[in-house]
Amino acid sequence: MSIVKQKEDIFGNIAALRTLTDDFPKLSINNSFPSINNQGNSQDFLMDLIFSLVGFEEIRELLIDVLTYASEEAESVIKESLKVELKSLVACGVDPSLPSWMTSNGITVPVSNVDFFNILKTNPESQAGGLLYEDVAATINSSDLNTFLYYTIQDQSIPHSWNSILDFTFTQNGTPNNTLTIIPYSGYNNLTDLNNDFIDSVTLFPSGQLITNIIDSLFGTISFNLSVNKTEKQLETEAQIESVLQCILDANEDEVVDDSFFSFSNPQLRAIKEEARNRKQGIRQLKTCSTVDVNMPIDILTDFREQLSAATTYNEQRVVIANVINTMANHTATFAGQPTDEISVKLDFIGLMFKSIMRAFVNAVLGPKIVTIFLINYKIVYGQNATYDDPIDFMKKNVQLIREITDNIRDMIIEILLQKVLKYITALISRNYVEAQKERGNAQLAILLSLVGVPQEVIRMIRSNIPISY
Amino acid sequence: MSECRSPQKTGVASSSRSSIGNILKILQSIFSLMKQPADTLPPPLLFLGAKMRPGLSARDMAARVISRFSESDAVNGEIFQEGNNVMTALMVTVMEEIVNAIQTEAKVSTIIDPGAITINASGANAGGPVTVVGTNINIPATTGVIQ
Repeated sequence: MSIVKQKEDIFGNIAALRTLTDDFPKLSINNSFPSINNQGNSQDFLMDLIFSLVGFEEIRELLIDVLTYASEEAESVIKESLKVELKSLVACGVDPSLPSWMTSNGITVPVSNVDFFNILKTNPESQAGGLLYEDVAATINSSDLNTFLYYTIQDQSIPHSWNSILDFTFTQNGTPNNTLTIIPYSGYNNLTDLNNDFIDSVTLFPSGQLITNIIDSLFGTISFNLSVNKTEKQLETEAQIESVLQCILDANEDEVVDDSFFSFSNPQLRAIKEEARNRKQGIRQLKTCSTVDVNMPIDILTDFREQLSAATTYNEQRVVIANVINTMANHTATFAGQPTDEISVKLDFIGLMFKSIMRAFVNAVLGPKIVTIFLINYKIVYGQNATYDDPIDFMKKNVQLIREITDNIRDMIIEILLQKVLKYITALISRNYVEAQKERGNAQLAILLSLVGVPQEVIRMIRSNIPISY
Repeated sequence: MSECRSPQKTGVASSSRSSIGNILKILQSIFSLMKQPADTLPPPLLFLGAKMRPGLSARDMAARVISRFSESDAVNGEIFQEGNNVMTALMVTVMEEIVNAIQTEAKVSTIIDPGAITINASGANAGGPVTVVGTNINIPATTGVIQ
C-alpha cells in the first residue's frame, strides 16, 4: 500500500473513533494536511496528527518541552555519535597514536576552515555577540570554546591552551593569512584519548542558544544585526548547508546519501538565494491570504537570554521559554493584517520552529567546537595536506558522520512526537472502548427485556436513561 | 527551505525507529485491536421470547428515526418548502430497502455445536432391530451467521 494511502487510513481511523467522543476538539480531518503525501518526512506527519488530535495549543506546549528538556539528551546523543564515528575513522588500519608531525608542529588552517558560520568575526561584547557566545566575562579562560577562540584570535601569535587538551595560536599574516595553528597538548599520544577528552570538554548546546540559532536561521535576526552583518554570499552558503541537512533528514534509512545530496538543482538554488536575500534583510515571508514580510527584533532574544540566565531550575527555564515563544508568536501575528489570519500566522511560526529543531541540532556539529577535532582527525587519516573546499565539501567528505548524527537526532525527536501521538490515540481508543462496552451492555439489556415481553416504548424509556454517549 | 532532491520515498519499512514505514506500522497496529465477541443470549429466554417478537416494520423504524431528528438538528416536517420533507421521505425509503433486504435476501446459516443436543430415546426389544424415537430434552444454543 502506498505511503499516502496508509496516512489517509490513519487519519480516517481517527475520524471514525471520534464520532462517539465529544471531549476532543472538533477539527476537520481530511487530506488537506500538507503531510498527507508520499514523502517520508515522519516529523511533519506526526505534527499534523497531533494537530488533528488535540490542536495548536498542544503543539506549542510540545515545542516548549522539546526546547527545554531535549537539549541535554541531544548533547549526549551527539557526543556519543561523534566519539563512535571518530573511533571508527582510526579503526580501519590507521595507527591510533598521534604522528610526530602532529605533536611537534600541529596543523595550520585558515580560520574560515573551522568557522563556517563566521561566528568568530562577531565581538562577544556586542548585542549580537551576547547571543552567540557563552561565559564572555571569563574571556580567554571561558568555558565556551567559541569565546576562547575569539579571544585567542585577538591575542595574535600567543599560544593559548584549551583545557590542557589543544593549544591554539592565531597568525594574522602569512600565506594563507588569518590562520589557526592547533597542536595537541604535550602528553597526548593517543588520538582516541584526545578525541574523547576534547568532545567532553565542549558544551554543544548552551542553554538558550538553540532558540537563538533557530530564530536566526528563520529570520536572520542576528545575521542582519549591524555588528554581524553577514554578506549575502555567506548567507547563501548557510542556506545551502541547511538545504543539504534537510534532505538528509528527510531521507529514508534505505536511501543512500550520494553525491547528488550535495549538489543543487536550479529551483533549489533559486530558493536558497531567496532565503539568503530575506535573511540579509532580517525578514521571513509568511503566507496568509497574501505574503507578509515578518521580522523578529533582536531585543526579544536579548531579553530572553537575560531571563534564562537567571532561571536556575528546569521549571523556571520552561516558563522563560514559554514566554518567549508566546511573545514571538504574538509578534508574528501582528503582521497578519486580518484578525482571522492571526492564528494561522502563529501556527505557521510554531510549525517553522518545530521543523527547524532537528536542523539546528545537527547544525551545531558544523560549528568550530566540532569541526576543530574533525579537522585534526581528517588530516591524520587522509594526510597532512588533505583539505576541503567549503562546508558542503566538508559535509560530503564526512557524510557518514552527518548521517549518523541526523539519524540519531531524528530518532530522538520522532520518539518524543510518537509518544505524544500514541498517548492521544490511546486515550481516544480507551474512550471509544468504554462507549462501545456501554453500547453492548445497553443492547443486551434491550434484547433480554424484549424477550420477556417488555413493550418497545418501555425499553426505549429505560435505554434513554442509560445513554450510549454522555 | 528549498525542496529536497529526491521527494519520492519507498514504502518499505526500514530498520530505523523514525522511518515513516515503521511509524505507519506502529500506528496502524493500534487500530487493529481485536473486538470482543457478542454475549450469548440465555436459550430458555430465547425459546420463549422469540415467539412473541412482532417482526420488522419499515414504517415503524422510519417513524422512530424521524421522531429523533431533533436530536441531531435535522429538519423535521415541511417547514421551508411545500410538499414532503426530503429527509423524511428518504428515511422511509432507506428503511423500506433495509427491511426488504433482510426479509427477502438475508439468509441465516446456523450450526449446532457437537454434543449440544442430548436426546431421551425409548424403544422396545422384540428380538430384532430396535427403532428408537427420541426428543431433545434441553434447549441448545446454536450459532448462526446472517448472510
